[in-house]
Amino acid sequence: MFTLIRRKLQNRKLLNGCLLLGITLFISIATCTPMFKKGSLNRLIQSKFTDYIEDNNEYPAVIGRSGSCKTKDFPTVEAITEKIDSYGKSWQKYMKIPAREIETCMSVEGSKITQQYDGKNNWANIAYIPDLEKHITVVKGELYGERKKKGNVYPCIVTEKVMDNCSFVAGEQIRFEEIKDKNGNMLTMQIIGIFDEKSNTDIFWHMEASDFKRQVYVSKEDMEEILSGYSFDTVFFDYYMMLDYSKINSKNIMDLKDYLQQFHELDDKFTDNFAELLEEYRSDKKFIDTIFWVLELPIFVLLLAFVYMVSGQILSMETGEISMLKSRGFSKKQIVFMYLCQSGILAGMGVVIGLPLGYLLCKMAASTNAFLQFSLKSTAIYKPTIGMLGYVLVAALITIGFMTLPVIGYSRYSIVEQKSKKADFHSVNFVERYFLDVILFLFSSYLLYNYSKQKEILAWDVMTGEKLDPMVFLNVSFFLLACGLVGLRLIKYLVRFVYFIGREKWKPHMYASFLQIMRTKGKQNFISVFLVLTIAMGIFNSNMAGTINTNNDLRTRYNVGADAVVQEHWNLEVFLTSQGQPDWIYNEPDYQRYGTLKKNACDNMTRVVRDDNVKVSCSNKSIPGCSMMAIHTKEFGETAKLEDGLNKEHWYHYLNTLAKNASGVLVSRNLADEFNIKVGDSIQYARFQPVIYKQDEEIASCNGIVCGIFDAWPGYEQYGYGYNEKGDWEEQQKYMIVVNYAYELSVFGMMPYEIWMDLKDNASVADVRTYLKENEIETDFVKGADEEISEILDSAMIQITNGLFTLSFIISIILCTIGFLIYWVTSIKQRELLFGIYRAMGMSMKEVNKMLVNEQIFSSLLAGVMGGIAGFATTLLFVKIVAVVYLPRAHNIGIRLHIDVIDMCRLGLIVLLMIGICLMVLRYIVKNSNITQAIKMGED
Amino acid sequence: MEYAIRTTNIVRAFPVADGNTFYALKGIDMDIPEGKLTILKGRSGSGKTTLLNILSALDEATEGEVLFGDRELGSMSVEEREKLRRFEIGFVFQSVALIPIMNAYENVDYGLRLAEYDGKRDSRIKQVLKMVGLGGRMNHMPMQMSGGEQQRVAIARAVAHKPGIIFADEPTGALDTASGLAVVKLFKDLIEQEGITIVMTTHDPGLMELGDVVYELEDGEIVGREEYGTGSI
Repeated sequence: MFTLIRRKLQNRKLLNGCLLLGITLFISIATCTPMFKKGSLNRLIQSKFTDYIEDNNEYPAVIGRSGSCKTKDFPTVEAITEKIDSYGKSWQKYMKIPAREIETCMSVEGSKITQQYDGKNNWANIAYIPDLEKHITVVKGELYGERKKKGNVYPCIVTEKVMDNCSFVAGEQIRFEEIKDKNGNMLTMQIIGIFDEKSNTDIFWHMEASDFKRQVYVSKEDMEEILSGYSFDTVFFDYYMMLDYSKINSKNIMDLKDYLQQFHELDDKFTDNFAELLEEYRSDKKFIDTIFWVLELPIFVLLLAFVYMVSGQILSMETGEISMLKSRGFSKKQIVFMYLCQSGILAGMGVVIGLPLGYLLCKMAASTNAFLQFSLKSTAIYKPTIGMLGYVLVAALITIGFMTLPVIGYSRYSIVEQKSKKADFHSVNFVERYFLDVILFLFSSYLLYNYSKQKEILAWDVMTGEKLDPMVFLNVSFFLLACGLVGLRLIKYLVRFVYFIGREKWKPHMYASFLQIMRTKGKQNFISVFLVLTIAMGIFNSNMAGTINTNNDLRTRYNVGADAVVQEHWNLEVFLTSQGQPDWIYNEPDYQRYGTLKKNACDNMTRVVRDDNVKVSCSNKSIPGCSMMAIHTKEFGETAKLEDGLNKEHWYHYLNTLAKNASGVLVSRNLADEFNIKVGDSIQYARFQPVIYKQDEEIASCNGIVCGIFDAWPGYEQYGYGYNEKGDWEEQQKYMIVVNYAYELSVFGMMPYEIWMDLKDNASVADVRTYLKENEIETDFVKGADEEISEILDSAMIQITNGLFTLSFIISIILCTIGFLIYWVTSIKQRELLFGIYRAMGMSMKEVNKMLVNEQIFSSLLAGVMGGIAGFATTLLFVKIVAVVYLPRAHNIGIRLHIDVIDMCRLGLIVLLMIGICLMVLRYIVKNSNITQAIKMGED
Repeated sequence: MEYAIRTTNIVRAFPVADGNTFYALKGIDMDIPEGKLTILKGRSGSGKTTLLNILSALDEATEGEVLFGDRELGSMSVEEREKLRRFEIGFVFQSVALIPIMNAYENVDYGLRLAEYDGKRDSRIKQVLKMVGLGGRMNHMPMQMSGGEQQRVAIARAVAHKPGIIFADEPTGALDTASGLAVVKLFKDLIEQEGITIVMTTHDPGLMELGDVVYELEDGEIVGREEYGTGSI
């Protein structure tokens, strides 16, 4: 039997090779899935942690506990340390995520202090931080470890902040009025050093040194001595464990989430800073799980259809052999077993090639940064997993099933039944007979109608982390399939119609070719559906990916407002006025420092005051929390970016109007609607004191005449989202006013401003960052449109979508080209006798060629056109709905359809090339077939 | 007697493995009489089909001359040979060779379209199908008909455009004796009614005496020639 199988495989090398290709691709995609998914989830986790650092300027993955202990139970520093460490140990026992740093601070009761140099009455407490010396730099004086206690005076060190807060003087002695030493005297300390954190990137400082506003630090030995005579019974501690978040991955993250929840339930003093992040991950993971299977399903279906088609083609050529084996006494079981072994061998080979290929496909998908665009970014996070083997096994079994199951059907029929089935040219397939194509079309259209009405609900579900409805994506596949099937029905009617109108006049080659197309629809339908789906899917995927990427690009550029925006750190100085009243002033950093940057990297640069806490009033109505932008109109117009067409008039018109009205105000349309005001009306706006000062008090309020009402403005997002007082997620309108910088400055004084930059073509935000670093300019934030766009394109969700769309397109093109060629080559091979008859009866080669071209036009080319129509129809109808999943937030720039003409041309070229190659191959086969040999074949 | 085809010293050689040459025909000299049934007989491999292919312009002789009327086949271009087959010859192949995607009517229609038949195609199709006894099965597909019926459709297709000569390669090979006899009777009737020349190959000894002229081939050579002319069914 195995010799027979070997011969069978060798005899049909081409078809079995194609079958192996289908199996290999199926297995490789299955292999790629767990690796790509796991890598994407790990990437998601890591990007969430890094985003957290950027957004909060704080190390993520910190767990901790604050508390106190009684000195009678824990009399020594050692005992207290042991108690504190026991928390960490018990957490680690479960979580198994290593700690990168541990910050512990133990302190005694606070006390009023008396200062040597008559400082005002103050309050402070004594603390000890293990390993403090490793994480600090002494900026003045010396470290406590270097000087021993002198008499009853303990040496201590403090931060600059404490020096300022308590008005200490370096070297000053301070006495703690309520804390006694073991001799019963007031505890006395001398400030021997002032320190700062060694590095502001040192993760040790979860609680930054400057956060401890009234603490003085002593050495372990001195703390031990202080505790021995401590007059209170409680010691306080803060304990923070900085977990190594690079060790948190898709495998352990959910366990970690559960443990954190349990720790919170068991200990109300337990704290962490990343529970919210883990919850976000959980909802993102649900989204990714759904996205994965809905985007992969069409590829799997296409691959299985390919395997089914090729194995069906092979079987149809082997019906004679099956019947012969039956006539020689082979039972049905033996025949099925033989094919099972054959399929097993092919699947085995598929596994061997598919595993490494799956790995490569995953790396390829992971390196995409747009549809069919690859980059050289690192894909190290995508690693092979043991789960791949399980996927491979299941995939191999499925392909074996798909190859073997049809054999059962074939082995059931006798040779006579086989022949009569082959001869049945008039039968209508199941789909056409029961109008399943039309039903599917109506069904998917109905779903489309429903989803288009429920776009907001869909967006809401995505934003609130509800489960994503997979039907949104599946319906696209249904619609594509329905379009393909209905398209084929239409092609069939068209062929009949064309044949009918010229039936008496057709030349013999046209007559034969029309009859060929009409009578062999069964097999041809399959390849035509394949062709339609491939082209339609290619068009849709390209446009879908293009729309997501382009809209993200447009929105991000709009939100940032310019190529780069820098907010330098401004120091707020609080002082007493000559009248003894406290007041404040912002020290403006030197703007001239940006001169070189402007010269080398920027075409334009401007200062923009931005305040998101402005109260705008009109008549008796006030709206707090509005945004205000104060601009130099000319510079702003040269620097900021705003697409034309978003406002009723070009935005320069608004700038010109504002420039002419010193006290003029441009207002956002929603604000104008809210107050029911128009150009020429007057509004009042007020800014507030700095947050750290008296944030509820207004600095000043002034009137402004509305000189323009805009719909869109650089950096102005009309829609915000957040939880309301009831805890419900809601869309919130954001309002904005734009005023003249000079006028704003005259009313409210110098307040922090952003620096907006229009970068030169060869400059990037990285250059700006380098400049800031080199010039030691401290910033609150640096935003760059290009950077933010690349971050978005690099996000797990977009990456998965681009990767899977690219993969599915490449695979469908491979399958389609090969499937198409196989179909035609085998169909020509099978029709060799027929061509022999045509040629023997005197049909010229030219006529045979015309016949083939006519067949290609009315089957392949029309199927291609139908695929194009289906692809564009699906794009127009579905892209905006599916894009809501990726762009759920409302925005000043509504979702825009993006059709990439280059991609479309590329696709069209591939299809034409495919048909061209096919025609050439067919012509070659027909031309080289010997007529007498062909007729002889018929005798055999 | 007028001759439709005359051959002089036809040789057909095929290259085979090891650089050797196989001679399927070794110097055939023969005449095909016009308006008669000529039978080529011989065992399998004797060269009957090769000779028939050369006579019908399907294949070319390696050496020798074939006069088709007054035209020499060897000097004709591919296009001229195609035209010859298309307009002046009718074929009935051993493998029946009906076009499987066309029914009986369409198969005959195809032949007529190919030969650019200038009469009314519909009535001619019906006439020839009736003549071969298949007037009631015009819409049947080849696979829905028996071997004999298919062969009769092939004959109808071969004669429909009124060619001067019909070549039939083992037309009775796949048929039972009765069907085979019916096919040969049909040929005799056609010769009588339409004055067509027919050349057929067979190895069925029972059909030999029905031919007007019988050539016997053995190993690529003519080993016998007999004239009957009186054979009747």
